Amino acid sequence: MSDKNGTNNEDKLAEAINIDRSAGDFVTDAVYERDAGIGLSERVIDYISDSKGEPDWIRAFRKQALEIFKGKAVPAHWAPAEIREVDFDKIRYYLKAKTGGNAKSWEEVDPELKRTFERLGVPEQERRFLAGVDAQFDSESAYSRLKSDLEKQGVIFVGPHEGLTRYEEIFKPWFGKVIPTTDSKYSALNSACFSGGSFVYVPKGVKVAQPLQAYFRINAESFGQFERTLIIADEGAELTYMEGCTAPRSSSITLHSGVVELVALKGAKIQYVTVQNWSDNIHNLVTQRGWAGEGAEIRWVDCNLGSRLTMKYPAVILAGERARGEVLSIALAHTGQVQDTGAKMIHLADNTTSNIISKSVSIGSGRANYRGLVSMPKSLKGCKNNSECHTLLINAPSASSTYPAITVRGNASQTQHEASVSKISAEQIFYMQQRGLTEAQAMSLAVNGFVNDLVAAFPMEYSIELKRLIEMEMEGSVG
Amino acid sequence: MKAFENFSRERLDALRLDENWRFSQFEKLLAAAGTTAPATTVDLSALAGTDFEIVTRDGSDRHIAVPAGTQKKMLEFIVAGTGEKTLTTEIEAGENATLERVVVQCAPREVAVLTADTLVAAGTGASIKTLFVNIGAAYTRSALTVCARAEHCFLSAQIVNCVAGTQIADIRTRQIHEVRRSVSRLLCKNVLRDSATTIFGGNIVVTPDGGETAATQSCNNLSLGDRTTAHAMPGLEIDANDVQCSHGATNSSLDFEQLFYLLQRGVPEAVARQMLVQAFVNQSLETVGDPILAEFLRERIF
Repeated sequence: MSDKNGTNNEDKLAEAINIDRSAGDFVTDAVYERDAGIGLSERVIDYISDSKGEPDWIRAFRKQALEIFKGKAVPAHWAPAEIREVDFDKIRYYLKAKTGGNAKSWEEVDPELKRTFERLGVPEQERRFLAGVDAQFDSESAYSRLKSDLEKQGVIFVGPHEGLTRYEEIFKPWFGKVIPTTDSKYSALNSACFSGGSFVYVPKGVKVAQPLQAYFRINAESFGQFERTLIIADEGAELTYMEGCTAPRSSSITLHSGVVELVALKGAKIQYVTVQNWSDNIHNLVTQRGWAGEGAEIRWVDCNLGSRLTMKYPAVILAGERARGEVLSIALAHTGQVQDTGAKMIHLADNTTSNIISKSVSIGSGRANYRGLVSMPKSLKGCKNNSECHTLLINAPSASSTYPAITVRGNASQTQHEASVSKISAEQIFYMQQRGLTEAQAMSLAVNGFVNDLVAAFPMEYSIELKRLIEMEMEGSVG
Repeated sequence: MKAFENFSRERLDALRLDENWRFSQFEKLLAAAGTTAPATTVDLSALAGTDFEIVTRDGSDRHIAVPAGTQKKMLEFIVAGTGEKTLTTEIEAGENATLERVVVQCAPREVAVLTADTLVAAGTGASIKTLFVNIGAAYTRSALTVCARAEHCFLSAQIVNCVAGTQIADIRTRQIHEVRRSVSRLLCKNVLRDSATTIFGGNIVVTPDGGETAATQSCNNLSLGDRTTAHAMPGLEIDANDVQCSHGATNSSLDFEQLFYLLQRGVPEAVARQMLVQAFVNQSLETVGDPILAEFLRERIF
């Protein structure tokens, strides 16, 4: 199909499947009132703690995490080589823009920042379909609001700082428990200098019908954003939480290393949706894990379109009987990008079930990897897992690797895993071209068809957004 | 590419870090390697009439070339522990050469057996079919590489591990496609009883020159005991885009409905279970063209 036309054709095909990142590609002329400087040290930790006016236990927690961070090596033997590009001494760890405080209405937000979020469409989305919004600009939140009827029902939706000061009795027992500081070098780094993120608590039996949305914006260069999110759904509670990420393009390496902990108590349901569209200078090294109690359900819906390197393996610890975990994941890797994504399911109780579906597309010389873990380490009964990962390779230099690991103890559980790597079938393209589509249109349609069933799993407003993001340009076709 | 064949006490820490060795249990391997037991005796009389060349492996390594246009059928027995030494085999098949090779490892249940096999299809149209049956040894460590180095070649690797007691079968495979238009099929069937453990680590490697590759890899675990442990790590490393590569891994016990069906028809439960296990393994044994040898294997396994 492309042989006779050579590289030129290949380039055009890569262009045909393009992601629109222009909406987020602008720099705000922000005034920073707090800046911890470049590099990481105990002084920086003190600076962050002082700026926030934190209690002593958090300061001690941060300092202990810093020691753990220093003691751990960058995972060099298995991770993609790009992970070594991050120089921890050249990053700014805390930047607080002049936000006008953590505003509860858009009128109170600093006009420059307000314009930023308006350009990204956040206030408009809030009016249309969201129950609550938190908009974070670099290290701190600029705007945070929850619908008043939810507040009356006892729903809490604040930043982690407010969570740990105002709601310590709910926050502290779970903070750092699902993802301990010692989990990895990056969870330790986040624990040392976390700032921003969300603390959500949904009381017993409360079902939040509309999604809560967090919007993460990185504006500064050579910066590290370390948001920390803890979501607790009490017995029988339900919620959907969505996060979106953008940053302007720049040439310097910027780090995003979040930690997201979910706790679903008996019978609770949490759906966590990510649409990650970072610019391609961002290293996105995120740890996400949920703990599901008896009959609880945790679902990660994950879409990775942007960043230079993403390493993210959302996990569910199925701790209570009949708990259910699910990960649905879409990744698109363009030239210059590595999407190293996957999922982990740890079954620790009888009759727990889990499902992993991952679809990735490598375009140009992009690389999309799947890394997964399914573990049933005890002799449990009635556990089931299904995992599928499929990759489409668009161009000749596109690449993909798949590394699942499955461990099953005993004879009363079932797992099945399948993976495939292929290119779009020439017959499909031929069929569509026969019916008058150009080659690029046919490619676009085939790619759309490949990811479509997962796109449909996103909340409605997001799937429309996604279809727009994975914009299939009809230009650039081959005659 | 990481060399995972060469085990040695000195490299333990490096090997531990290497993903190819995940879930390996080195302490148990070393303990088994330090144990000696008299070699198993195999009664070969049942094999009279087969045209396979029969070899009982001693401690020496083998380098075999199958010349262009020729056909070779080999049956090897591994009847003794290898200690800490890895028993190495290198086979190269030339243009349009056909190799059929069956390896039966039935060493005593106390010892360690370490093997590394590299089977290369070096000539256009070469065909390599291989079957490994592991029923002995406390710790079986088997590294198998099949490599397509010429167009239109066909590689098939079947592995059957039947483990019981505290036996461990640790299988690492690679299917390497370095040129265009080659096919490889790999299937690993594990039957686990009591507290046995199996580890399967597989990888399909397609280099940038390996377009139009069709490669499959499957690991199916049948667990018959509630203390068994099965690890599966299938893998794909694809650097060429025009390929059809897939892998699959499954874990389960006997299907209750199948068992029920047989019991309904008056088959005693023990026999019914045996039949289902046989059916599970038979998919691999069927690839052996020689009926005498296939029957011999069936009797050895069950």
